[in-house]
Amino acid sequence: MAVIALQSSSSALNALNTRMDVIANNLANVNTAGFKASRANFQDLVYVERAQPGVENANGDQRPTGLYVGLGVKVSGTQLDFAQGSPLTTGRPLDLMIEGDGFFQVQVEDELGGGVAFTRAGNFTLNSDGEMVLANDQGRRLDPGITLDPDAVGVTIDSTGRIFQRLPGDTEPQEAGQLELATFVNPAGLVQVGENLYVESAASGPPATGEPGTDNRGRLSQGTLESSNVDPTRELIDLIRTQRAFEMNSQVIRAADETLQSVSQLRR
Amino acid sequence: MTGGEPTDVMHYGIHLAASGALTSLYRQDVLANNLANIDTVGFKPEIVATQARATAREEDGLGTLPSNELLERLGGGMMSAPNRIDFGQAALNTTGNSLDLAIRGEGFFLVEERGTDGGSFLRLTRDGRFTLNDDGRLVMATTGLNVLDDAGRPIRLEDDAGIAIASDGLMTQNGEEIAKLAIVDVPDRTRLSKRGAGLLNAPAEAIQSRSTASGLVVQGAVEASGVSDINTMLSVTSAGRAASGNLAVIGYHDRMMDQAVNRLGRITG
Repeated sequence: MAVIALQSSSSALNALNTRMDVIANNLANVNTAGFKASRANFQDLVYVERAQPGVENANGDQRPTGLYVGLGVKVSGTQLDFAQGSPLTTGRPLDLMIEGDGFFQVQVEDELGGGVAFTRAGNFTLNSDGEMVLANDQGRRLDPGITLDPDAVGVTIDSTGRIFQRLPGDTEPQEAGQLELATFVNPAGLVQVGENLYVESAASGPPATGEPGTDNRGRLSQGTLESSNVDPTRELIDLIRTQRAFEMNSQVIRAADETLQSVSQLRR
Repeated sequence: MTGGEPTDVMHYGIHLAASGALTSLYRQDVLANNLANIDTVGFKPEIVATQARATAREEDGLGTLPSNELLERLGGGMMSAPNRIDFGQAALNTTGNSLDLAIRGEGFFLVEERGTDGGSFLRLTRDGRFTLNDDGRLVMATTGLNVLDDAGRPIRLEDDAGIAIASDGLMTQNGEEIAKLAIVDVPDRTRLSKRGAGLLNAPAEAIQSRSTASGLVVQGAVEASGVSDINTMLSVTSAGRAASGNLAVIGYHDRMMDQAVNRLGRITG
């Protein structure tokens, strides 16, 4: 019955709506440092069987194939794309970019992923106690914590995450700490919690922490930020496709509705 | 039916029209599903076929009765024929994701679905959106099913860095050979049926007699849906019109019977 057509098409409208939301969020974050684009993955729904293959008719002939009707489409999930974003030179000493795999670790509330969250956004700054924190409204502390002397005149971070500071009067810089990065077997399984942060999930696997540049972990680059990896061209093309698919599916709803109207007008 | 008298003559056309209306409604359902999946990676559209229906007596091999010969010559209207899946190659969309794969040419990826009783079933798919699970196994991003190598084993990787997949399916990570992806085909594709989630089901013996297919693996791309927007929209419209036409014929029959019953026998106009 055309009722199935109505349902299939409305499932498509739902799924396309979700994709539109994902695209809108990607485009909204086209200038967010360290942002990773998501995509909505579609999959077809189950098929109902109208006739089984292999059933024999009166002549003993077997029906070679069955008769199925599909019930539409759904969004099976959103998938993060962890491709490297392009570097943005800022010149600020506490702006860091990871060249390759890995995440910075910051301290968060215990309810949020057990106290540690992960981020690609390396726009750090110092708080009033001299601790290195993410430069956003929450001021998340780096984990393991690194405290710099507020009087330090020069801060240098090398590609393996060693932090040096030079104090006024000194000639030699002294080591102030070691940054660590975390990698995951399946980064796409991380849970996004906003603020550019991700937390661990059963799907991502546990974090493997270590110094930058070891075991597939990327190296650090000081004075640069990783820009968002959203490709506006692709998003806009996807947006057009989504919108057209939406229109076509709503046309099918109209066609099915017209058919149902003819059915309902059968009895005068 | 008594004494071979044709008793249902008046209604015969109504039934023929009804079979046309029902089949058109069914076509509309299948086409709606195709169009709903216009953006589903690796989706293969269904071709709705219709066929003329023989009369019930003919279908049962009983032959026609002389009294019904005229009507039976008309046949029994129409019915839907078994769906065929259109396995034609669709466009490849570049995504740049190293675990997005597409097949150019013939063949399917082989994935493993675990039943609730612990048994495992092999399924085929053209949906090459893969990812790693927490265990490091290569799985379908949508369903989480294991993707198998040419020996039928799951594929395990350290992480998703430095993976290269050659066109024959050979996977290397940082220059080291990991596994060779299974790209298979079954002897008779008409026996494949859809299972949802982009998976295709095949009878056990068809899966067992699978062979390596000639298709080439393309890394960093996915195969678009095979649904043609223009053709599907046209077919939806024509199916709708066909249904309305048949329903109108039912209406004519109804009015004809109205005349026969309520006007023909009336003595004073």
